[in-house]
Amino acid sequence: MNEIALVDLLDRLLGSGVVLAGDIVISMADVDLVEIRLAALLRTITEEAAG
Amino acid sequence: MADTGSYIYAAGRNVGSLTTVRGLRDAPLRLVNWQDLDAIVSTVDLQEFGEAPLRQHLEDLGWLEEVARVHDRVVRAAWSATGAVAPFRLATICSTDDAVRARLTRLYDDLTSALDRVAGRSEWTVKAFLAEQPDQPGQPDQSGQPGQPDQQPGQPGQATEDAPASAGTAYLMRRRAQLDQRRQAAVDAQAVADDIHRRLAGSADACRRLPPQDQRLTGYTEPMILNGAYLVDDNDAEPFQRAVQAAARTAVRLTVDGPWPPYSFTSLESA
Repeated sequence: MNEIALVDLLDRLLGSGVVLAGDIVISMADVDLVEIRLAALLRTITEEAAG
Repeated sequence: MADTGSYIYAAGRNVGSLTTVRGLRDAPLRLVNWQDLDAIVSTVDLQEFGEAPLRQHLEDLGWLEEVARVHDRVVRAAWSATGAVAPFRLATICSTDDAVRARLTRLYDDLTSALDRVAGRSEWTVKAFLAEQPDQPGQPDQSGQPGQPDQQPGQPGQATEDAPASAGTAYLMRRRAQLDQRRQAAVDAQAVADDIHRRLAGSADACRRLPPQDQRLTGYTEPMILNGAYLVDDNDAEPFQRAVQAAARTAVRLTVDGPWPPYSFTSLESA
């Protein structure tokens, strides 16, 4: 069983899976999360390139 | 006000004890049960996993990767223990175990049918990358600046004042042809991606197209035209690999990864 590349894993953990809504502590729209991870990944890559 | 929550990794049937793996921040895992369903949870500190801190942490790639890897490890442990697992989205946290159980109760039918759907099956991902092709082979783009003479001597007798207009027109036509060609290439690439996906879907029990990943994330210079997830019966893993080989074509690079837990195939229709 191969380890999932982080990008692929986040595609799935943020874009799929069982989603709950309602009386839970944390609930975020998938769009939020996908944008967040893209922003985080891109920022890191940009910083690495700059550094 | 409690300052801890129950983080849900996945749900499965009769999961049993997961002793070889621990949860986030090394917390022990426990099962919250309803009938034959178990949710795999661990306690998290809301100082770290509450809504406001979580929003901050999610922008920290190191944090995100750590949490995602632990989540994946727990999902895989449950997957290999049961053969069917419904992973929950990252950072799904209920206030108490009772709230988790209430969710299991409410989602019971959806979760059991999702588990039936993925039992004995694994997720494979196939990506297609378009090999780079130069624009207009044999007709290299000239400097690409407007107003450049077109390298063609004006016809004798042609009025000299027409020349700049002709050069401008020629540039615009060349530019338009280039854009048309790119647009056409994008359309062709889409058709190729659709065709590959259709062939692979025929060898899978279910399929989903994820958005192609940004080039900056893949690290490849070639653009990704297909990011497909395929749910394949574990007995059909080899035929599926052969279908991937058969779908290969020139100017397209295919990659296949798996088997993975069925992450893309347990979304509930109404959650």
